This record gives sequence, structure tokens and C-alpha cells, in this order.
Amino acid sequence: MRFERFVAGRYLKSRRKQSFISIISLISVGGVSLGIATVILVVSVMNGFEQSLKDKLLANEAHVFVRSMGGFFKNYDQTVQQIKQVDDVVAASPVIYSQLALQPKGSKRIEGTIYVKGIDLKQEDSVTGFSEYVIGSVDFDDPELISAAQKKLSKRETLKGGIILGYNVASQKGLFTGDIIRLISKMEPNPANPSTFFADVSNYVVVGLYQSGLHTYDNAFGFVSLLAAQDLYNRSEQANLIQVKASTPEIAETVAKRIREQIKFPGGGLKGVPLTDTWMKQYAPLFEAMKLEKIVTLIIEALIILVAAFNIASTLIMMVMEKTRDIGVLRALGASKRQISKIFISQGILIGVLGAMIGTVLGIGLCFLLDLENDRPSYWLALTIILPVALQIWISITRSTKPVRSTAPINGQEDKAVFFKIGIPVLWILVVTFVLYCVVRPIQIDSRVYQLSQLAVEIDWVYVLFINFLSFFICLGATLYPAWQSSNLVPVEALRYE
Amino acid sequence: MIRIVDIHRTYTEAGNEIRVLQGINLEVNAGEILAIAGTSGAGKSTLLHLIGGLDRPTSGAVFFGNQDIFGFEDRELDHFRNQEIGFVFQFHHLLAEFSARENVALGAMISGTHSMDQSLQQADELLAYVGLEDRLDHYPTQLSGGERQRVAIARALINQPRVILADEPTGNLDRKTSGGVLDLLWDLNDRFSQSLVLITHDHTLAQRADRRVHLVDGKISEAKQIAE
Ligand SMILES: Nc1ncnc2c1ncn2[C@@H]1O[C@H](COP(=O)(O)OP(=O)(O)OP(=O)(O)O)[C@@H](O)[C@H]1O
Ligand SMILES: [Mg+2]
Repeated sequence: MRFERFVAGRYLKSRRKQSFISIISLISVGGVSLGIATVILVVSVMNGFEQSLKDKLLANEAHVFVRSMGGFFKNYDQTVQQIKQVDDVVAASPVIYSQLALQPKGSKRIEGTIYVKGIDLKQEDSVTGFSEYVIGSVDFDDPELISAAQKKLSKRETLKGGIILGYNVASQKGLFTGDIIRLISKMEPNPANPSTFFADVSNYVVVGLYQSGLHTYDNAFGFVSLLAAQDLYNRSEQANLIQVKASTPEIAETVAKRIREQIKFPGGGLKGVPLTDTWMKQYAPLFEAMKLEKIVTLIIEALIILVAAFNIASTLIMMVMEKTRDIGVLRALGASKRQISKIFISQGILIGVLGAMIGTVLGIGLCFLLDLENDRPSYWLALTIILPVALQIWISITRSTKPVRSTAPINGQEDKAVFFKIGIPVLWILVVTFVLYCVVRPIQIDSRVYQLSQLAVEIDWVYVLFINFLSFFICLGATLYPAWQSSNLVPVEALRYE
Repeated sequence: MIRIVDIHRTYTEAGNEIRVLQGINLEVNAGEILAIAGTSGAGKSTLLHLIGGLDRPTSGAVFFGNQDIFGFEDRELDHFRNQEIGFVFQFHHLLAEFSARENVALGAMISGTHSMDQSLQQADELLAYVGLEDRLDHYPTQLSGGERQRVAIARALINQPRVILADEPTGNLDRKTSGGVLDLLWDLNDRFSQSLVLITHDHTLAQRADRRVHLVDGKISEAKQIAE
């Protein structure tokens, strides 16, 4: 391979005579680099997005939800204990989950609805880490707030307890800790006057605010104690949902299946059959959308790399045409068909590997910069890019006016040659790195739309490796036709080729 | 050493058969200089390519020693060209991307039996021998016509072949320069006693050769051979 690589390398960087070849090979390398960098960047951003969204969703979300066909069920403690025995179940908690109309005290109107979760604080914490996200008191029966609230109410009104409101619910309705809200659980026609209704109204005092950063919860939820919720529905000793935490989120479906097989609610019959749901199914539309997005990007990625490969193929085909006579000479010198084709294969591989290396460094570098939060120099400093561009132009002007013969480093010109050979690429690398550092910053996104406030980046190293391998083989594939073409030139005709 | 037996070479171009060589019989002895003359288009280059195993004949055989080189497989034929044959062309045919020493070393690199450095060192010695020791790192465009042809000769010598095939090596040079190049070829034949098959239009040059043949109508002209 020594000979083949030697010739391939020289053709690749050829600056002589047909200088457009070297520009073309440069463009081919650039094509592969950009392709690989884009793929790494896009995949890392999508990964980061999905991962941090998952992290965020799962930080305060149970993995499996168990309901009964019959709705409310008794003896939930017993069922919770049974579920905890199921393999890979880490924790479980009983919940009453419902949607209620909300009327802030002092307001005359119903102001929308909120989801209310009645929870057992200790058990809830073990499943969703609820308390970590509460600002203010987590004690639903906070004596101070309760007694203060009781004073605000008239004698006929009773206080059912404390409520922890979603942060954004509170701020939208202008509520603060200590304020009282009414929750309306049901309305019944007044038998005396059917055009009016009796409303089942309960008063709660806001004891704390819940802020998870997840808008599903912060914008639409309130939390009360399980006892208060049972009281609200006249369902003492009952619950309508059991939340389960599995050892890892990914196995939620398996755990759900085990629960369906192993658990029966007391009462038997249809009511005894557990209905399960998982976080994946709950967020299915979201993850489905992401999956679609991934498939689309995968197709685009494949196209990008394919384009780069076509680029390599056309570069090599042109090169074979350019070098037809050389090929004839090499055959006359005793080079075999194999050796000739290896020259062009090496060349394709050289382009591919060089491109992949630069692309990987560039892609990972961009990911790193997108994730790096610190104060960047002004955008204006990106203009330093002018420096190497100007230098390069100056060099090409002064070079083209010099006689051709002096390009061979003969008379002590070696220092200068070394400077041009090493100094200029180093300068380019430094300046480009600096410019990217100035320009590429973490990207802020609308958290109301995306649940996240910043584009997260997560590099999947296995994927990076995979993309490198893939592009290597695609580039290799691109060399096959030119290699075949070159080795099948008839030596005598190649020699006569002008 | 080389025996050419009843070689025919026919090109088929657009349905027309062009019978270039029509039964060539010729022998090249070890160490001799053989001049082949003939009008343009007579098939001299075609014959030379066949001797060097670069082309295959329509029929006939070329024996090197007592082996028919066209009985070789492709790989063996490549090896034969690499080791036993040195080509010098009318146009230098040096590779533009490579310096003089690299051009000369290519043949050794192809054989793969020497390291890169050894190959280059051998090339340096050969270039010194052809009088270009201070042009080692020059590229073909930086050399004069005569110098290029000397590099081409050095390139033909790299694997110490037993036969040099030169196709009008001075066809492109002025009289004085070609004299130098030819002196070099003769000197080389003296020193290494390689066979030299030389195609030329030049009468005086042909006279210097040990033996002369004429290619006429696809055959070796007996008349001229006898005239020797
Ligand atoms: N590939 C080919 N296809 C068809 N005809 C060819 C081919 N190669 C050579 N010929 C023909 O073969 C004949 C001999 O060509 P060749 O190059 O051997 O001549 P030559 O004696 O070397 O001439 P010159 O002195 O001009 O170099 C020519 O008429 C040429 O047209
Ligand atoms: Mg000819």
C-alpha cells in the first residue's frame, strides 16, 4: 500500500499545473466534513432535546398509572402494598385524581378548571419527588395559615384544608399563599326550584406553590391531601388511581404488564381488573412526533452523506481522466491493475477519513459551544476571519507573480516554506475556532412551547462512531467505480492519450 | 535473449481491420543495441509495446529467455515489466506531481521490495549517474527537455532491467541535446550490458547500433537486414 498511498496523497494535494484538482479535493473533504458535522450536531441537539424533556417529564411523573374498571376503589393500601411486591417496582402511591371548577374567593365567577390531585405526601414523594418542587409550605394542614384563613371565612363556611397550587395557575389568577379558593366538585338541581342549582363548594387555603418547570403541571394543577380529596367526593377510604415508579422509566410497559397479570382489586369481577397506563403512552403524541422528526432527519442525513459521496466519486472520475497518461506510464513501469485501482481507492479513503475527522471535530466542537454557558466576546470579533482570508489573498497574489521555478525549496528558502506549510493552517484553525466561539452560543427557546428554556445538547458517542463508520463505507463505495475505471484503462491507449 | 515469433497485431476500428504487424520474426541478443527504423505509422511503437508486454498480440509469441511472456498471467506480466523491462518514451512522460527523484523511484516502489527511503536513495544514485545530482528535487516543469529525458532514462534503469526499450528517445530534442542523451544510452549499454532496442528515424544514429532492422508493411525488411 505504500506506493499507492504515496501517489494518492500526492494527487490529492497537487498544486501544480491543474490546480483545480486540489481545490476539488478540498471541496470533497469539505463536503464530507460538513455532512458529518451537520449530522452530529443535529442528532446531538435532537438527543439533548428528547433526553432533557424526558428527564424533566420523569422528574415529577410516575411511570405507571393503575386504575380500576370501577373507578374508585377501597382498601387501596392493600393494593399499593401488593403492587410494591411486583418485580422492578420501586414505589407506589394512592391518588385521587379529578378535574374541578375553580373560583377564587372574592370573585363572582368560575374561572376555569384545574386538575386536582389528592395525595398522601409521604407516598407521593417516594414516587414523584413532589415536595422538591414546592415553594412555601408542603404541610396541607399548616396550622398558622389554616387558622388565619378560618378567620376570613364566615361562620357558615368551612375550610376543607390547604391546597398547593401550580405556580402559573396562581400567578394567572393573582393568588398568593394565604388566599382562599373555592373548588366546585358537583352541581345538583334544586328540587324546590329546578332552574337553580346546588353547588358542592369547598374552600381551600393556598399553602404553597408548585413549580416544576413543566407546564402541564405548573399551568393546570392543584394538590390537596388525600383525606381532603376523599372528603370532597364523599369517598372516605377510597382512591381512584395508583401511581407506580419503576426501577427505570424504560421498563414501564413491562411493569404495567406484570401489574395487569398479578394484581386484582378487591371486589373481584370486572371491577377487579386493573387498567394500566404508562408515561410513554401519556406522552405518546410528543414522542411519536419526535420519532417522525428523527426518521426525517435520518433521511436527510443519509442524503447529505450521499451527496458528499457523489462529490468524491466525481472528483475521482475527473482525476482518473486527468491522470490517464500517468496511469499508462505506471502500468508500463509494472504497476498492476490492483495497484492502480488502489491509488484511487486510497484517495477516496483519504478524502473520506480526512473529511470525517474534521467533521467530527467540528460537530463535537459546535455541540460543546452550544452547551457552553459563559459570556462570549462580542459578535463583532467574528470579523477576525478577515485576517487569514486577507493573508491568503496576499500570498496568492505574491506567489503568482513569482517565477514558477522558485517553488522548489533550494536556496535556504526552507524556513519560509515551513512557515507557509504549518503556520498558515494553524492560523486558520485558531481563527476559525475563535470565530465559532464568538458566534455559536446556547440557543434560547420558548419554554411555553417546548417545555424547555434552552436547546440542550447530548452527544451520543455510539452514534458518532456509527456515522464515522457509515461515511467511511459510503466513501469507499464512491471510489469503486473510478477505481474500476482506472484499472481497466488499456495501458497502450492510456499512453497514447493526450 | 528475446525471441519474437510470428507476431501479428490487428486493430479493428469501425469494422475495418488494420493489420499493423503481419508476422514479425526478430531476435534481440543479450547486451546488443538493436535499432528499428521505419516510416511513421509502420507499427514500430506497436512492436515495442508488444516486446515490453504492455500490449497483447493478435497472434504469435514473445519469448523472454525460454518463457512465452504472453503465457503469463496479468500479475506475472506486470512483474516482468517491472523487473526486466525499462521503457523510455519519445515524450518524457514524467509524472508532473512528482520530483525527479520520486519519478525515478516509482518503479522500485511499485515492486515493493525496497523501502521508500531505499528506493529514493537508489534514485539519487541513478540521477547522479545521468548527471542530474543537483536536480533531485526539481519537478518536470522545472527541467529542460534534455534533463527530462535523462530522468526518464534513470527511471527506466531503477530495477536493473535486462532490456531497455526506447521509443524515439531523442525525437523531441535538438541535435546537440540528443547527442548527449544518446551518448548516455550507449554508455549505459557499455556499463551494465543491458540490451537496448531503439526506435529511430535517424540514419546516422541507426548506423551506430550493433544491428539495424527496417519495419516495412508490417514485416521486418530482409533487404535492410542483409544490407548490414
Ligand atoms: N488503438 C489503436 N486502434 C487503431 N489503430 C491503432 C491503434 N494504435 C495504433 N494504431 C494504428 O497502428 C499503426 C501503427 O502505429 P504505431 O504507433 O505503432 O506507429 P509508429 O511506427 O510508431 O509511428 P511513429 O513513427 O509515427 O511513431 C498506425 O497506423 C495507427 O493508426
Ligand atoms: Mg511511434
